[in-house]
Amino acid sequence: MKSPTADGYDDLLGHLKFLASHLDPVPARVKEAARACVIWQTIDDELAELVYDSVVDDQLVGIRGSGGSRQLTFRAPECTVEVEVAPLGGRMQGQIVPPRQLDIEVRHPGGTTTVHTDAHGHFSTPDVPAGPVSLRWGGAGLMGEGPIVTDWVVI
Amino acid sequence: MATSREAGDDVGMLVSNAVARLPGAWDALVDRFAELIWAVARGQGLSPADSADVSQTTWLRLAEHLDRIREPERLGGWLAVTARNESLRTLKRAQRQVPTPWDTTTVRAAGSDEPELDQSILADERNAALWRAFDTLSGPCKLLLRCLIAEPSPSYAEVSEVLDIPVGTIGPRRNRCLENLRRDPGVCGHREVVTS
Repeated sequence: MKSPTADGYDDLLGHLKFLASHLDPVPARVKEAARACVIWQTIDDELAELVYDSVVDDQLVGIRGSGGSRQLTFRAPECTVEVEVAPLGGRMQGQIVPPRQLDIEVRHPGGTTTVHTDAHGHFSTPDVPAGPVSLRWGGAGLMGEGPIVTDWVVI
Repeated sequence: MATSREAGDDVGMLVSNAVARLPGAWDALVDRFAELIWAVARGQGLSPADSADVSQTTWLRLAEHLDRIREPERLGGWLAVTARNESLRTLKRAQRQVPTPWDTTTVRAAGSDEPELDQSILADERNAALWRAFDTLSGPCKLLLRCLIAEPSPSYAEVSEVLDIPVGTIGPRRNRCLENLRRDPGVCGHREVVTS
């Protein structure tokens, strides 16, 4: 039996490339969605990063399969947002800390919904379509605070 | 190494064009990296519907981070690692969810991709055997090969970031994974395909 040559491996890789291009190409709608993301390009919004996700972080201590709600924490230098996502996705409720009354834009690729926080910083959203979601608040009208956006997270 | 450095400079230029919002600059990034991101998600075993979510989330994250990217020439690695982490998050989310009507929707969405696929090449037994063997490769091998066959080809630096392995080990690992594939009983039977 011939020992395999580097060329043999290259041919095999080329064959796989050919098959993948026919059998599992990037769907056209996935590329279109990627192109459409340009409209969400932000300039100087401050970022509230996802620092805790119960889906990922709780599993480190063996909590799983509970089917309970999912907890997310986003942190910006001046504030934190805690969000709870209902077990089946869709509805979210949360709190902004330190508490304040303001409008929060709930953004998803299909559009934006605005919700208001109460005096304790609590808010809840109507159903949001399954897929990526991000929150944005602040900006014009708020003293000394530019707009803040959270990381996008799939719910 | 000269080649990958050129590729890096090129990506740096694409990034600065996109930061400056030049027409077509974002689309150029999508053309460059859409397939690598898809490869990362599919290579970790995600369904087409979940891979679509991972892809979209990765690009949305870039839209927010673009102005903050510290090493523009390494954008490919940043995107690939973001896609890898989002894929893992998706897998963990799926593990703890019981099937729901929402999942049914996901399955339907995945099915809608099928008309785009050209399944006719699977009528060739050699193609079918190789594709089946590829599908059953171990996780790391599948992810590595899946990334390497993305078009345009990623740099080894990008592949190294996705798999979190040193650049120098990619070649030997690639050959070992291809050797496993070549020895698959289904593929052995059609050896002329893989050695011709």
